[in-house]
Amino acid sequence: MTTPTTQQVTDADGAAGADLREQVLLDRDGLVAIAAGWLARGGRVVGPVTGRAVAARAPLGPRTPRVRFAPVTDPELLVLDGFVHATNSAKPLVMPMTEKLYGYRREGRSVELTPGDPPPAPTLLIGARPCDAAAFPILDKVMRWDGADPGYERRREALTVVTLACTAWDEHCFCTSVGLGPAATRGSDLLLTPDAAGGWRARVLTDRGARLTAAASGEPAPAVPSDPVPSDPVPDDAGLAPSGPPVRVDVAAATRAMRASFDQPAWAEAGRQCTGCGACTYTCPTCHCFDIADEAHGLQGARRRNWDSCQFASFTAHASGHNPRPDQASRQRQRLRHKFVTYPDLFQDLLCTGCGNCYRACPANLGVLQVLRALAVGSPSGPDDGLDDGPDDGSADGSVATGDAAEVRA
Amino acid sequence: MNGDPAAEGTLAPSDPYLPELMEVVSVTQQTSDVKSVRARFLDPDRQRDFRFRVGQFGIWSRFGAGESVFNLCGSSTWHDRLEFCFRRVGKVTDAFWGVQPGEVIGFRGPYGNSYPVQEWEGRDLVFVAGGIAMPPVRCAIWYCLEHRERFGEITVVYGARSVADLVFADELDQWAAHPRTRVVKTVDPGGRTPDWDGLEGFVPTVLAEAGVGGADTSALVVGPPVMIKYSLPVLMEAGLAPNRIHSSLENRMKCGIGRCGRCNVGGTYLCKQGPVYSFEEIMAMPADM
Ligand SMILES: Cc1cc2nc3c(=O)[nH]c(=O)nc-3n(C[C@H](O)[C@H](O)[C@H](O)COP(=O)(O)OP(=O)(O)OC[C@H]3O[C@@H](n4cnc5c(N)ncnc54)[C@H](O)[C@@H]3O)c2cc1C
Ligand code: SF4
Ligand code: SF4
Ligand code: FES
Repeated sequence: MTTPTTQQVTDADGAAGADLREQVLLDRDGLVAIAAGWLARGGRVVGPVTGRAVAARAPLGPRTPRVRFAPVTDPELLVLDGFVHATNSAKPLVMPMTEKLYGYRREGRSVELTPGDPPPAPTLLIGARPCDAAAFPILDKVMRWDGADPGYERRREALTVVTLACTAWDEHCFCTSVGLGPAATRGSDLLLTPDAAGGWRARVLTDRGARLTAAASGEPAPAVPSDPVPSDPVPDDAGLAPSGPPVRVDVAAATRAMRASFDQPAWAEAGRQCTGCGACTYTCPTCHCFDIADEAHGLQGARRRNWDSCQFASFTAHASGHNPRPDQASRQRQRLRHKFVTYPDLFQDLLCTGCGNCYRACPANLGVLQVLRALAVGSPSGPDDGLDDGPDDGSADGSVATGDAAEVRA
Repeated sequence: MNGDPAAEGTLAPSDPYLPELMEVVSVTQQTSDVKSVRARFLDPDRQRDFRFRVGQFGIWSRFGAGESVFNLCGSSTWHDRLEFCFRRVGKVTDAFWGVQPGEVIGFRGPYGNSYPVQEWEGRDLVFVAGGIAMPPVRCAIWYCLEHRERFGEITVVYGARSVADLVFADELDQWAAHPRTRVVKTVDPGGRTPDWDGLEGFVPTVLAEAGVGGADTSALVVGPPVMIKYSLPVLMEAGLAPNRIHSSLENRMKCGIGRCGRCNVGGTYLCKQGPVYSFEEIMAMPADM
């Protein structure tokens, strides 16, 4: 294992003593060593890996590798460059697809309740994109609404997030339309931005991030205020950020349309296209709707929380047969309104990070982006002017056309 | 991506999904497919101290089958037990059908808002229920009868398809025995039996003939959509403003705490902001019901 090369660098403005704004230089070996150290201490490391067990340092072809977030036991397998976005989301780290809430044992007429899933091992997510990381504080708001959700909380507290700023994006990415960007810091403990030497400048955003880099450099963790669960808002470091995808939709105009009228021509249109498979909701980092069901094995069993989807008819079907959302159009309306009207009304935030996974996963080539566009066109005051809807300026092989980003990668 | 199998899980009492255990005290078959259940917490202190407001609901567990949402259909003044009443329609309610006294079931709650019983004080009250919708009305009726002096005239209009479909039929006479209280019971045309001593006719018709109303009247109306649709104009013609008529809505629910994402009508979560709404609010709701 290579010794990590870390080095203190001062902030651009030369500010001294700003522990949380500390920047550390890190290269791939350094990051792999951090992951290896984490595993050695009994932790779990999750990051982007390709389907084939190719060495991640092998030269990447012109095509973007398809990666998924998965646990690794060999951190050398982590793919830390060249990919745009994982095909799944990192949501399972806080909301697994299925979770045992608790168990039960029946004996005669009595019932004994038994513990659910054990707490997770400390989990290091390496290689989140900013749109993955931002989903965690967004989910927090729902899962902490009026009281805690212990299972969620345990997993959230076990999680440290190392995010890779984006230098490439595809036509599905629209983070810049929802207030995020390729180097947004939200939800990250450490944000890695590519540096001139082929490694990264690591922005330390929380004391979790500080502990990671300190462990890597063999120094004691700097004394920073205790921040047990990472939260927003450390300002984005615009100077380091590549420009990101163009603004692809006027979300404000689309939202005005949804607020102006419950009925929109866009619903019928999306409803005709949608097959109701639910892939969009399952690959979405912010979709969180769930079912609670029993899994019985004789006299004992588990009560489980499972992912569910608003795109299924059974989601809202009453036992009587009546269904408040009887067709795909009304289910598309629910998904869009939940993300851009209902959740914002409750939590003053958006339930979407613009990651584009809903579009990438959809067998019908539909995504939130398309529906938002259709809504914006029909908006009372139309979409705002000056919308850059041109071709992508980020290419899949990681080269970057924009000035800022080119500087970072030069 | 599951947890470390070596680590021990815990049962946190603060876990909102963890049910409290209750013992079934008695089960009464109300109709061919409706039963009512009385249960009490295994922990006697919890039973003594438990409080809820009429109109709230619980999420009830039949371990091995799952959870179902049922209204707390007893009065909030009854501290020795909780009651619910259910119709057998599917997986969980099938499993509840076989429940026996002495068996242990689960409960979480109470959830939701409640009926505006304070706003009702000093006013005449009309309770309108259809069929299996009697349980959510029954809790309010008992509550008002137990605080009889606080309310004006009370009229209960209860209808079912046939005599055999009346739920809590044995309590109708007990209610009518209270002062200034009238119970009008009816069955749909063709639903009577030879010894039926009630009316024959649909609820809205019977309600119109009951002569209730006035600006000092409030109403609670729960029942099938068609009953509500035709009863509402009757009450409004009788002088009740839409904000004086309440109902209890039902949507499929799983969590009861605003997280599972399925019970909302437009932007309002029935499990947290409902299930009780005035018709002024209901009429302003989008077509998402
Ligand atoms: C506020 C409110 C108050 C209510 N009050 C009452 C009341 O007082 N009395 C009353 O009778 N009813 C009441 N209801 C309605 C009642 O909750 C439903 O009728 C009842 O839950 C139906 O449950 P079921 O399991 O029998 O039906 P089903 O529709 O069969 O549901 C089956 C169960 O199994 C699960 N399930 C179904 N299919 C699958 C599958 N393929 N895989 C995994 N799991 C599956 C479902 O999630 C569900 O939990 C109320 C509802 C609400 C919202
Ligand atoms: S709705 Fe689509 S773009 Fe938005 S967060 Fe979910 S998957 Fe990503
Ligand atoms: S992935 Fe596409 S087809 Fe499937 S439910 Fe979502 S929008 Fe519909
Ligand atoms: S029942 Fe889960 S959100 Fe209301």
